[in-house]
Parts: sequence; structure tokens; C-alpha cells
Amino acid sequence: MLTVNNVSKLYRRGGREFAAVDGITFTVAKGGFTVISGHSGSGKSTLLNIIAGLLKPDNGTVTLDGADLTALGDRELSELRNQKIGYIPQGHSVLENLTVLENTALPFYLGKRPGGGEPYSAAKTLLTRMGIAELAGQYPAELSGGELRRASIARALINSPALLIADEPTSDLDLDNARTVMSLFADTANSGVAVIVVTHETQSLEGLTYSSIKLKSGKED
Amino acid sequence: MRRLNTLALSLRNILRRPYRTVCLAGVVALLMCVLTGGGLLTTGLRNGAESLSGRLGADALLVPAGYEHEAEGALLRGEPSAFWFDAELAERLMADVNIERATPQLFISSFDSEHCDAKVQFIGVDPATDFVVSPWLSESLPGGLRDGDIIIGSKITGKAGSFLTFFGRKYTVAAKLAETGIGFDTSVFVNMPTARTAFRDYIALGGQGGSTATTDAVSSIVVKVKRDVSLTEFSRGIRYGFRAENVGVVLTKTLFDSVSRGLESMITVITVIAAALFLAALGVLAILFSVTVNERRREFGVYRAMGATKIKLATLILTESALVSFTGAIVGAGLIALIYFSFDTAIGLAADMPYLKPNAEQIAFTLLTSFAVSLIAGPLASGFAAGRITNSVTSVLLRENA
Ligand SMILES: Nc1ncnc2c1ncn2[C@@H]1O[C@H](COP(=O)(O)OP(=O)(O)O)[C@@H](O)[C@H]1O
Ligand SMILES: [Mg+2]
Repeated sequence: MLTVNNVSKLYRRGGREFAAVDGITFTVAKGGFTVISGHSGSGKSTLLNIIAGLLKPDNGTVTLDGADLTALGDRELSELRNQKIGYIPQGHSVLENLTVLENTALPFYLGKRPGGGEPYSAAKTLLTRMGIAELAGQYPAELSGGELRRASIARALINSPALLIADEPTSDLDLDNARTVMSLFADTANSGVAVIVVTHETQSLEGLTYSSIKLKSGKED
Repeated sequence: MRRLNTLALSLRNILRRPYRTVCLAGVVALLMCVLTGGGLLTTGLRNGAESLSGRLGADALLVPAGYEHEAEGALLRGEPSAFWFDAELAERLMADVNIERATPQLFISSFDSEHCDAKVQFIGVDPATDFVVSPWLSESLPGGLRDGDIIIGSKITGKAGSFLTFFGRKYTVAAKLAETGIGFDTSVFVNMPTARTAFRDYIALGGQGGSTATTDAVSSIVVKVKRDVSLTEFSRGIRYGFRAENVGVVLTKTLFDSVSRGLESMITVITVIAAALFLAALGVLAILFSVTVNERRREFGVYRAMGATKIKLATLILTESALVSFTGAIVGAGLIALIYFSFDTAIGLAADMPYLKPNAEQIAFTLLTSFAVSLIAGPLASGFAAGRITNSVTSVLLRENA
């Protein structure tokens, strides 16, 4: 389903080139739960950005459902990201000018919807699944870190993506909240979505089934 | 539930950031005010110059030497003036060989006292020979001026059928003229017999310079020069032929040229100020937009991560700035309307030049063009910031203040 093949990304620092991601290869099947871990600066975010089509690799290919992301133009890539990839960036990403419910519904309106329809009932269902249904009408400023994270998961799922990607979704959460969030990812994987989560702590994953990729200086460890 | 299309998202972003919006819209409102104000002022001045040229159906005014400036002041600004020739000299002047047509006029300036209802310039015209004033006076009074009738300029209080007192005598207002933007707006027109009566009253009441004048005096002779005679030739002929009598020649072309020169330099100043302000406003807006767009880099990165195309993102930013511009332009239009309609009479006086209020059509045109320019100011100024953000790598946008 998702194939990452020999992907590399070069950066330049102090006049010297170095590989932030260096020849990474792996696959994630439908319903698979993959966890990428490693120290800070090991290339986790860079790799995720490449997989999400937000960053072009210098080498290698990323194939999602047969489409090579590295070869697509902005319009096709944006459309694919909108339809097939739910991306949860590191840190806060819930838009502060919209309510939690509107944030959740927003990706529906950013893509082409030939059939029309409305995303709000699905958004409410997702917020219920995330356990924050009662916060639907609130603005992000009124939410806690764990609630914001759950809102961004709901938003990433609104277009029923094939692939869900989260960058350090538990970094600013206490262990209880972190466990809740991780189990939500595991549930999502069980529902048939390919899930990739980046983390630098694995405590919150105890008791969950996942395949692990460890990064060190851009290489698989 | 709301559809979150581009317009709805832009509106939301604007309304949830009132301080930012007010700052940006304020600059546009100021721009709208300056553009509209400058446009209306320019139009009024152009109207004034046009009105002047349309009413200067003569080539020259002959006045006593030394009173050329007073004659100009009377014509352009309605400044009360008092100067006279003898009737006998006037006859001889009108008989000059270079003259095609000539008509005498008598100026009497009203008093600032209980004897007069308004401070005006009395102008006596001779209906038999007049070719300058009568053609457009007759628009207001088809029957012509009868003895004792007065026609009043637009800025004089009173209306047709009412009575006004000048030099202690009551006159019937026969008609009121439309606005001209020049001295005629504060002038009172009478026929020559009526002017003579008023002049006798003036002298009897001790009017300035009256003791030196005879009651059959004439203030100026309005001249149309023969076609084959140049204006220079004509002036030289009068100055030489009447060198003993001291006759001054005011050429209307020279007068009009100086007015249009003044007009052109005024319009240049206004245009330069408006253009400079437009550029300054554009600069300020560009800086403000670039700052606010920069502050929102991460937000725009999130939009891209959710699948917004570059075009969608640019459209969102441009729509926001267009809405801000629109709001500013509306506010500016209201503001300038308030200012303009409170001060419109003062504007003409302050300009010290022929000024004729723009008509409804001209006002609408000025408003619309200024509105269009103000409206594009926002998108124009935010275009650069929008281009920069849409061409940034999304992963870099997302790294900002995470
Ligand atoms: N745009 C960039 N330009 C230069 N260096 C970068 C850029 N983005 C990331 N890096 C460097 O690449 C390495 C990997 O970064 P990142 O993928 O963010 O690591 P992680 O997410 O594992 O902490 C780091 O050394 C980082 O400083
Ligand atoms: Mg990272």
C-alpha cells in the first residue's frame, strides 16, 4: 500500500552537506501500525514530510496506492494529500479562528467534492470517537494539549484517508493522555488505515501491537 | 452548518482578528479619502476654469490704467471694485478702429452697512450693445432686464420675486443665476438705467471714489476685436492712441491662461500628493501584510498539509486582503462624504480660484474610480507576501513556532 524506497534527503549545514534521511526503505500495509523512533535530529520529521508529499526527496520514491508522490505536480499532490493522507504535524496545528468542529470539517472543503455533501455529521462522529464531542463548539484557545491533539486526529480522519501520519503526537502530553492518543492510533489502524507515528518515547505504546523502525543519523538503526 | 469556502474562511480570519483588520482597513480608508478628495477638488477646479472660459465671450476689457488687477479680481472672485471712465472717453474708446463690437459696463460695489442687504458687486450692462452677459442672462430671464429688476448670482441670498435693498433702494429679484464658480456668483446684474440710479444713490451715500466720478461714467468696456487684428496689435493701438488718457487693457486670453496655469500647477500638486500617498499606502500595506502573513506561516503550512493547493492558498490570502480593502474603501467613502459635504463651500474659497462644485455624475465617477483603486490596493500589496508563502516548502512552514 505504502512503499518507501531508498529515500534520501540532503541538507547543507556550515557549508557541508549531510544526509538528514539516508537510504530508507520500508512498506506499510493496509491496517498496519508503524512506529518510527529515534533521537532528536535523527531525521524522523524529514522522513514523515517526504512520505506526506510535503518535501521532495533528493533520491528514492514514495508510492501510495500505486501513485509515485515524488513525481506529482502541486495540484495532483495536493489532491492526493487531501483525499488519501491524514497528516498531523508536530506541535499545535488546530486553526485558532475556527471551532473544533469546523477544524475537523475543514479538509472536506479544501478538496474537490464533485458529489457535494456535508462533513459535519461525520465530524461529530469522529469527535465522539476521540472523546471530545462536547468541545465541538469551542475555539482551540479553550482546549488542553491532549484535547487539541485528539481534535487534530479527528481532522486528519475526516476524508477517510488510506494513510494517517502523526509527528510526535504525544510529546507534550502526560503519560495517561499519551496512552489514550496512542491507543486511538492503534484503533485507527485496526479499522483498516495504514498508520505511521513518530515518537521518541515508547512508554505510551506498552501493550500495543506495532512494527518499529528506529532511526539514527538518517539511517535505519 | 457553514460551508467553509474561501470567502467564509477569509471572513472568519478577518473578523477573528479585529485589531489587525482595523489597522489594514484604516490605511485603505485614508487612501480612499485622499483619492476621492483630490479627485473632487480637481474636478471642481476644472469645472471652474471651463465655466470661466465659457463666459469670457470677449477678447479684452478696457479699464482705467492701474485697475487691471481689480478688474480681474471682480471677474474671477467677485471682489467689489470701484473705478470709472468718463462717458466721453468711453465713447471714443468704443469707436477704436480695431474694435468689432464693444459694450460698456458699470461696476458699483455695495456697502457693508444698513443701506445694502448683501456685499456684492453691482454690474450694469447695456442690453442694446451687450454680447457677453446677455446671452446667458437670457437663459434665466427670457424677457430681458427691465428697469428696476435685478438678477442675482447664485451665492446671494434671495430668490426670484423677493426684494433686496441696495444703496437704500428696494429692488425686485427677477431671477437667480445658476452657479458659475467665478465672480458672477456674488454679482448683481442690472440694466444701464437701473445702474445709473444705483450709482447716483451710491454717490449720494458717500461711496468711495464717488466724488471724482460723473453719473454717466463707465467702469469698463468689454471688447471683441476685429478678426484680422491681433490682440497685441489691438493692445498697442489702445495704449498708444490713448496714452494721454491712461487706459489699461486686460486681455481675457492672458487672464484665462493664468487661471489655467494656476489650475495645471494645482492639479499637478494634487496628483503628485495623491500618487505619493497611493505609493506610501501600498508600501505600508505591503509591510503590514508581509508581517501578518509571516506570523501565520505555520497556519498556512497546516492548510497545505490538509491538501490546499498553492492556488487555493494564494486565493485565500488575496481574498482576505480584498475584503479588508473593500471595508476600508467603504469606510473611506463614508468619511470623505462627511468631510466633503460639510466643507464643500469652503473648498472653493480656499482654492482662491474659479471653483464649480462637481455635479452628481462627476461625483459618482470620482467615487467609483477611487473605490476601484483603493480596492486593488490590498490584493496588490499582499500579492508579494502571498507569492512568497505559496512558494515556500510546506515542511519548512510547519517547522515555524511549532
Ligand atoms: N530545512 C532544513 N535545512 C537544513 N537542515 C535541516 C532542515 N530541516 C531539518 N534539518 C536537519 O536535519 C536533521 C533532521 O531533522 P528532523 O528530521 O527534524 O529530525 P527529528 O524530527 O528526528 O528531530 C537535523 O539535524 C536538522 O537540523
Ligand atoms: Mg521532529
